[in-house]
Amino acid sequence: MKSDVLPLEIQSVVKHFHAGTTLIHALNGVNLRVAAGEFVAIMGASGSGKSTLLHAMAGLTDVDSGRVRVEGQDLAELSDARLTRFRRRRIGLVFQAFNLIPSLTAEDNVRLPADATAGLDARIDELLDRLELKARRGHKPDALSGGEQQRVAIARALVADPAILLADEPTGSLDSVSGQNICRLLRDLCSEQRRTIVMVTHEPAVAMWADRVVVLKDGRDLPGFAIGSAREPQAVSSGYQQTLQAAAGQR
Amino acid sequence: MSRVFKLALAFLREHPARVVLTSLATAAATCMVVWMASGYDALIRTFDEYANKTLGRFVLSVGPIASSTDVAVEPEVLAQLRADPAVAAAEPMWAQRVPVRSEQVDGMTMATERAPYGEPGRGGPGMGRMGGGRGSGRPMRDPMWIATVSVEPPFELMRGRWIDPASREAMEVVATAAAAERYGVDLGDEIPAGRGKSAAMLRVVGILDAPALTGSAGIAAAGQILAPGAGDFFWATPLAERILGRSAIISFVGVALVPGTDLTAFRFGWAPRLGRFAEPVQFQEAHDIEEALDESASTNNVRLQSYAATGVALLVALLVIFSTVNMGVTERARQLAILRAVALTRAQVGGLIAVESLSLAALGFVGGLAAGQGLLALVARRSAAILHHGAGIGGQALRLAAVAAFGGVLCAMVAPLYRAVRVKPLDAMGPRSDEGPGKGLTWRTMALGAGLIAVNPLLTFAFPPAFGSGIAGRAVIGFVATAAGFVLVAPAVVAFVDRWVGPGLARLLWLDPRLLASQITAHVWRTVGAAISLAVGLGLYVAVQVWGYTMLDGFVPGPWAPDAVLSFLPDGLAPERVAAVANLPGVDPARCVPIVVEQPRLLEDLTHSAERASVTRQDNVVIVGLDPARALGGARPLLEWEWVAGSPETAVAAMQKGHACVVPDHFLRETGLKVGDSVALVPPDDPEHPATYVIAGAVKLPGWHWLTKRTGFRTRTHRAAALVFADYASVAADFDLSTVRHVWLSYSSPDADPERIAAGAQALYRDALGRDVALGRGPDDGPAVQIMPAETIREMTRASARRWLWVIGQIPLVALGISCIGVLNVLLASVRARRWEFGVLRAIGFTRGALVRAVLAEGLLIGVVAGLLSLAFGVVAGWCGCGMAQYASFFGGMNPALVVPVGPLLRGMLALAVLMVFTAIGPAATLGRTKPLSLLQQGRGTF
Repeated sequence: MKSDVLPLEIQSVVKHFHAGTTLIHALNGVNLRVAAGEFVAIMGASGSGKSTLLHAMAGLTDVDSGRVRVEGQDLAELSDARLTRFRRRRIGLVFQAFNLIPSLTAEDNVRLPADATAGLDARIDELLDRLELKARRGHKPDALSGGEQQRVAIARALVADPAILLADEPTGSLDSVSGQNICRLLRDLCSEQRRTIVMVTHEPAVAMWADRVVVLKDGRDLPGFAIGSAREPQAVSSGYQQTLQAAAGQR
Repeated sequence: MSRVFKLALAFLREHPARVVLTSLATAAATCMVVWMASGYDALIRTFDEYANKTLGRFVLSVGPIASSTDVAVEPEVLAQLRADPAVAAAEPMWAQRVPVRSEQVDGMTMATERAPYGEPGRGGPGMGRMGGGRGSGRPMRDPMWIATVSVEPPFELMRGRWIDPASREAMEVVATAAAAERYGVDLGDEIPAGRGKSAAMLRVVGILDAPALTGSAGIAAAGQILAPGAGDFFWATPLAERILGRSAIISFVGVALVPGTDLTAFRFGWAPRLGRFAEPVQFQEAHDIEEALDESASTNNVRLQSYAATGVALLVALLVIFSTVNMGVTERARQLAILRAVALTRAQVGGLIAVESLSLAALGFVGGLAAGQGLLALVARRSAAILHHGAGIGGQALRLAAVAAFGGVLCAMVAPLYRAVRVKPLDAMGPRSDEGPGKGLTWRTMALGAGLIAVNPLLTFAFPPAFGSGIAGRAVIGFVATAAGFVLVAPAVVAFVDRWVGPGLARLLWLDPRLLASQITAHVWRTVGAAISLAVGLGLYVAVQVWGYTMLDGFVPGPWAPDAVLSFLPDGLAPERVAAVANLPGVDPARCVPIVVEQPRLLEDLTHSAERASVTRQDNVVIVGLDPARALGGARPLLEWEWVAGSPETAVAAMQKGHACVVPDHFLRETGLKVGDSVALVPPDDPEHPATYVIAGAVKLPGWHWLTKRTGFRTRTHRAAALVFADYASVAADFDLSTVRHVWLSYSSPDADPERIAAGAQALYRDALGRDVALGRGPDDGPAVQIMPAETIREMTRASARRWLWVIGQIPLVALGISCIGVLNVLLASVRARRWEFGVLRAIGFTRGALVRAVLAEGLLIGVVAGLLSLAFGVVAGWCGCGMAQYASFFGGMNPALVVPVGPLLRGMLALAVLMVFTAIGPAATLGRTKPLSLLQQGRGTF
């Protein structure tokens, strides 16, 4: 990847949905630029468009106007097959509900998106080791705890060494301790490996692990704020509220 | 692709029971094809071996192109062959069928003539060995006797010696080993050949090692080949001429060539000459004979049976694999979305479904071949007689088995594959949700389904076809539309059964009706799929029974037929002596009518039999002359008919005036004639003076065919267009019938004994002739009395039809059994999907017995849906099949009314119910054994 190409760039993205006869403006000209090695949390109320934005970033949904570029590649220019292959190789996805394949072992789930290349086995070993899954590699998902399953999902998302990791409420199905462990893991991955991570969450205690927070309201991106090194949920809450109030005051 | 294969394997391993059951069902269907088609393969292989040996020591057989024992080869052919320096020997042979009487032969029967509904092929229990006395009741075909002047036998002698070919006096014969076994003779035994004055006792002096074919198809095929191998017995030509009382003809010539002669060049040199003879001849080598055998009608029948089995097996495999794969796509919708999101393209997801489906088919194919081979080997070892044509899997069996297994899967995976590739990756992002109730029942769907069902009856009855024009196309369109229509109305049937049968069944099984409510409508298309797969077999079975019994209705003598026909053979009694029959014990004197019978040709081909022959379109009729007042008049007439034109009074009045007749209703339909029109008949003994009869009425005469056949009314030829009734005097005068050969009578009481009546008639006949009279068949066609009760004819006809219907009903019933394996899959999936629900029910107090009965009830409800669909489809299909048969089949024309045979259908439904109980018992028992906590935990799952 060229050093001056951003891992993720969203330009004036607009997305509408029809719910019956009602037109819903999910995204109204969102702009976002994520630098390499940056950890961005997207926060917003329910219906603010944050999940839709994540789907657009992953190429899971197309946009009505604007551009979504991953590593400089405009996703709209790709056919379905090429987009799938691009997503497999350059975008890692982590879901709220883990979404592992129950008939495959942990290792096979991790291996799923990877192309058979030299060094794949070593990379998988390393990933499993890093995520403390080596002893569980031969187990199927129903034999793993929630936290272990999410770690397998993260390993699966990273196995192809993607340009960007997109996480949709990764702690939503976990208890608070497991959730914090996942967040700490993502933070470490970002710090150690300069992983670019975009995470959607509504929890300040999760968002505090990011470098900065982008706030969405009514499909629009509001000026975000940086997370201090103290990483306190109250600070994130406070920053979020101030952002919303500032936006309300401007209207 | 390895990713796709790995995933497919993982998906298959996830539900091993489902894979096993699906493969088992496919294997069973494949095995059925192997069983049926192997008969054809073995037949062809047998033909190959037979053809190579049937010429014996000759390399060619030269015979007429019109292959018949009555057509001769010109002597000039023989002379020219013998003059050819390349010919080492040219031996003329005279082939004739000569009857042989023996105890072993007299009890044997064989279905050689085409029965009303076709020729039975390979079947299951009940078919028995050819010649074992379990045929259609028709006597065996007379053996082939070959008269020869050759000093050498055509085949190697196993025992004894060859005949003296020049002797006219030596009463000796050489038998083939197969003929010797069939007729129970050995070296030194005497065999009575011929009948009547020409009968002779011949001593068996040698046994030949000649090739032979077994099984009805083989024998029927071989009967059309003229070669030394066609012979059962060999005798000297001069002796044959003396015994048969006529000069020999050359039926064919066996040709041996000088060693080193190029056979191809020899044939090529002769080719221009063959057609120049007055009776064109042809050469036949072994491969020509093999080709003729392969293309024979009987071989075609066996081939068609294997195709029919393949079609049914393909449907079964299609439905079972479709059910499994479609269930898998539904259950894994979210997984497929995940795979689309993180790893797989649409094409790869499609490949995943294809690999999974093809794996199931491959397992079934291989398993089916192994099972088929094993079954054939087992049957060959235990009871080889069942395998008429031998045992062995050849090319045809392999090809058809592959078509069934892989053709089925290719059709089955289309819909699931389409569903799978349309899964969106975004679907993975939504919250997990259980599959809601399927939408299947809309008024539009039902209306469309009803419309499609109506297509077949419309094409058959409302807009009937002309004969031979587009019948196949109409049949395909009609039956496909019927099937599609029933698929579309199936959800409505499911809803009906759920609403109206479910509560009753719940009460019957001591179940809370709420346990059963909506179980089958919750996943309506899964229920429909299971029911349809059962209905393939059962629906076909019902259709066959309805079609068979409806067609049969036209051929079983109806209530119009008097109780019995008493016959004085061969010459009859004087009319004044016949009156005494009315006084015999057991005979109703008021309903005892002497008749005269002839079978004259129609002067004009009124039924257009030359264009298309059928059971109602022939060039002759059977005419019965009787006293119209006694037969039709009075308070209790002998013949009580259902009149469609005219009336008894007008008909009697017209017939009493002379040269008026009553005809069957179909005769008016086929000829376009009406009451008042005339029919001209040609007396066989006086063809220059046709007799004309005016039609005085038309009646329904169901069963007249078998009645006239069994009573011997058909004296001239084996088919007739109609049974016509006229006055005695006119018929006797027109056809020179001075004696009475038959008496039609009714019994004086229900317990009248026909044997006693026959004995009384025997005494009458003996007194009249002054000599011994036999009962039944007389020796050497001497005088005899026979009685043929109408009830006996009915029983024989029904028994024959029941046997045949049982044989062709076996494939659908086997398909039904195989489909139950697929339904087992569905029930297992249903129980699996509801494990959590069952766990909750157990936790709150429902007993394991209640849940077991609930699963059994679900199975029975699916069976009820299948039963209703099968019944409706079968009746419509069978009825329309009969309708189409009127325009396509040789046995059409009787236009019988629809008959729904309650007995066989009830048996079919009972078989279904029993099968469904056995099918549901496994999943039910497994559920019953599982503890509530396990159910709750198992039902949690990741997805």
